[in-house]
This record gives sequence, structure tokens and C-alpha cells, in this order.
Amino acid sequence: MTSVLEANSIEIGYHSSLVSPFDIKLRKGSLVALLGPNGSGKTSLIKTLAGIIPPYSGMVKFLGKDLKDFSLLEKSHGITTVFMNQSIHPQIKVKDYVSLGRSPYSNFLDARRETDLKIVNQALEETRTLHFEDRFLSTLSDGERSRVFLARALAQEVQVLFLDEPFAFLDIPNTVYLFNLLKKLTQETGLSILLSTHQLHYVKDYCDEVIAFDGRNKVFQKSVEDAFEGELLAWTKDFEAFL
Amino acid sequence: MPFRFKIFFFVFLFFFLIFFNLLMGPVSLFKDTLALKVFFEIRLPRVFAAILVGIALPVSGLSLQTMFRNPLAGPSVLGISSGASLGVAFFLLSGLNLGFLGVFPAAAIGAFGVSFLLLLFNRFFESPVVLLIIGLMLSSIVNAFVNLLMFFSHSESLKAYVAWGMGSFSKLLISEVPLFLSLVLLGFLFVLFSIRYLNSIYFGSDFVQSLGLSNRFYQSMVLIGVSILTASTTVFCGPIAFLGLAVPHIAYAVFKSTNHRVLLPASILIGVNLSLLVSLFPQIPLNAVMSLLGVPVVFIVLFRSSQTIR
Repeated sequence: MTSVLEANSIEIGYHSSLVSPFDIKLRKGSLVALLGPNGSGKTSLIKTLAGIIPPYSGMVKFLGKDLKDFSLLEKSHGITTVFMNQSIHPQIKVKDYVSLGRSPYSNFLDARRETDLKIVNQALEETRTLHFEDRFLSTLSDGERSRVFLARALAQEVQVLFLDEPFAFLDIPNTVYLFNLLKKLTQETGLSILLSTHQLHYVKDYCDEVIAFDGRNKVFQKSVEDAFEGELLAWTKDFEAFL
Repeated sequence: MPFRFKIFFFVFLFFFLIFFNLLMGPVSLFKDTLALKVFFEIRLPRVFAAILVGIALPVSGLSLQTMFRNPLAGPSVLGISSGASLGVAFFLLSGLNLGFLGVFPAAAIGAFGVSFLLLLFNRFFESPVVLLIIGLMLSSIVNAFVNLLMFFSHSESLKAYVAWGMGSFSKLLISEVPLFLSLVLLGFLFVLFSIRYLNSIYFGSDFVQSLGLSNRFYQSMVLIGVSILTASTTVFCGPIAFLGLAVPHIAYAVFKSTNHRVLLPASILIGVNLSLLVSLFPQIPLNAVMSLLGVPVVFIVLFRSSQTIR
């Protein structure tokens, strides 16, 4: 499989490197889980790979080209990130929010064309949020809201999607539903998804690969089968007892 | 009410109010020999002043409220008008007479200085209430400087400053209209160019970046636009309170949209109508009326959003 996004011996962090240099490859159409203890640098890694912050050292390549050679706008046509803890406008409707995903394709007056509206509609359908497109974002449950956030990213028609803790507030049925949806998207549309999560048992069932912080200063990328063997996830042993 | 009807209603009201502004007054336009002079030197400039202020302040208020994610933001509450006032005070009170070329840049720099400080502080304090307090503090500091200037100035220039400080649509000269108009247009263009940013900043700066927009670039665009708009109104009409704060809320209540493609024109439509309505009564102090209209709006907003403002 071809890789869409590649990081070669990068270090991440703002003022100092959080981990020793590591390599990452994100293949087309793969669903990859990002695991690690709190504060290990998962969000920093996502922001670095998404080009929101520069790597501390090393290079991130998107479609074989250095990510920093892309303009912000070019980047937004290929990569986007969903932060689940983002602030929301209390009075914005679901469809207006999802329509923001078309902003990178609009003119400076933020107009929408026929095709944009069609794509927005499709994103609403795919995430099963179409039936409440006229509701205010602030009135949705966490499960519904997470799907709406995802719909915005789908409307943006990217090749790489980063999700920061998408299951943080979700109950079991919603988690299963969202995992199934993400799996389907990667298989059917060739979208590559990297999501940070603590839901290990779902990762085993749904994800193709795992990128893990070992809690000391190393980052590994392994297939799911390899990841759950050996000492890679040693830091999870402490809380696996609770699962 | 359907969307088109609302627009039609406000456009109709707009022309209706212009007509009455031009027609009404102590001098009859049809019998008096002074009619032409009154029309061109008093009423026409007053109408222009009301319209331009009715565009500039609501546009500023709307973009500030969105950018700072704070429903109670506005050029006067945040001290941006005070910053512009300092620039004006410096020239009016020191007796330096460089005309408009001196006053406007000074006012614009004052306004931009305050907005820049606000932006800087906003990074450290996430709370909307803290931002308002900072705005209050900034205007206190600015007013302290103005008071110092007043203390050391002559009674003649003091009088001029106090008269200007009351705020009025009637001080604009017909010869100043083209300049005022082009400044408002220029400031508006800066904001217009930032519509995509304004539509997405409500969801945070990371979200803005995910959509391919540069936070720093558009923040500067909005702040420059707001500074030009606020400074030009302050120079020509004095500091005017509440118009910028209140109108965006009325626009939202009437047009029910969060999209700035709708909110910007809506705020302008409602802003010009409101200020033309007030300018029908040039004898009444402008800021008194604005406060009477604006304060209730602030209270309504406070009560309605008691969950979101912390």
C-alpha cells in the first residue's frame, strides 16, 4: 500500500523534544490508533503531522513533498483535524457547521456552490446526522456532536484525517457506531485516519496499525497484532486490570 | 417573516428615514431663503454621518464579538474608541493644528494600539469577563492621559474637546464626506475580506487552521479594519457608545443566522436605520439616546446567555 503521510526521524514538542527521533508511515486507507499515557505528546504529534505546529526536528512528508512547502490552503485540501474539545457557537445549526468544511474551497466571501451543498449533504448522510441538520449544535448529545464534527471533516474532502480523542465522551454504543463508521470510511473511500484514544480493546478489533508512545521517550509504529504482544504497551499493564 | 420581506422592510425604512431626515427640521425647505444652505450644509452631511456611523460601528462590534468570542465586546466597551479619543485629544488639546491629516492617523494608531493590547491579553486570559475588565482598565488609562492633557490645556481648546466628546452627527462638514466615506469603505473591505475567518473562529484557532486559514493574518486584517472604522467615526462624530455592541445582537435576533455573509449586511441594515432614527432628533444628546437603547440590549444578552458567559 502506498503511504500518504510520512515522518522521517522527527522529534515533536514546542521548546524541547518530547521523545527521541522516530519514523511514521500513514498508508492510504488505513485506520491507525495513536496510543500513549496522558501528557505523552499525542496531541502534539497530531498537530505536528497536520502541519499546525512544525516538527522540533526532522521532516513530515505529505504525498512525497515536504509538508512545510504546502500553503495553509493547500494543506487544508488534503489534511484536516477534528478536536473534540473545541468550543462551539451556541446558536449554530448542524448543517451550517458542517458547511464550514467547504470553506477551503470557497472564495473570500465564503459562498457555497451547488456542488458544495451536495457534498455537505452527503457528509451529513454518511454520518447519519441529516435528520437533525436544523438543530443547534449546542442541543446535541455527545454522540451526535462527535458525528457532526466528523461530518465537517468529511465535507472537507481530505485524504488524511486526524481525530483527537474522538471517543472521550462517548458511551459504548456510540463508540462502536463511530468505530464502524470510521472503518467503513477508510475501506470505501481510501481515507487515512489517525485517532488518539485510550480504548484499547476497540483498537484491537478495528484498527490496522498502532502508533504508541511507550511512556518513556520512544514512539513505535506496529501492526495491531504485534503491538499487543511484548513490552510495547507495557505502560497499559497497570490499568488493563480495570478493563 | 420570510427573509426577503425582512430585507425589503429595512431597505424601505432606510429610504423613508433618509427622506424624513432631509425634510424635517425648524427650517422649511420650500419657503425659506436659507433652504439650500440648510439642505447642503446641515441636513445632508448629518444624514451621511448617521449612515456612515451606522455602518462603521456595527461592523466593528460584530467582528470584535466574533473574534474575541465574546457577546459583550464592542469598540466602546473594549476601549478601542477611547484609544481613538486619545489621538484626537492629543491634537485638540495641545492646540497643534495639522488638520485631518494629523488627527486621523493619531486616532487610528490609538485605536489599533488598544486592539493590539486586547489581542495580546486575550491569549493569556481565556475568560470573556476578564477581557471586558481589561478593556475597562485600558480605557481608564487612556482617559487618565486625556485628563492630564485637559489639565494642561487652554480653556479655548478644552471647550472644543468637551463639545466633541459629547458625540454628534451634526459636526461633519459636507467637504469631509468623501474622506469619511472612503475610510469607512476601506475599513469595511478589511472586514469583508475576513468573512471566512469570522465564520470559523468561533470554534477556536486550531479549527481555523484546519480550514486552511492563517490566524495571525486574519486577526490583523480584522483589527486594522476595526481600527480604521472606529477611528474615523471617532474623529468625525466623537465617541459614540453602544451602537457597535447592540446592533449585532438585534441583527442576529432578526435574521437568525450565524453566517457573517448574512450578519454583516444585516448589522449594516439595522445599524443605519437605528442611527438615522436617532439623527431625526439632533437636539437630543446622541450618547444619551444610544445608552438608553444599548443598555437594555446588554441586559437581555446577559440574561439570555447566562450559561455561556462565565
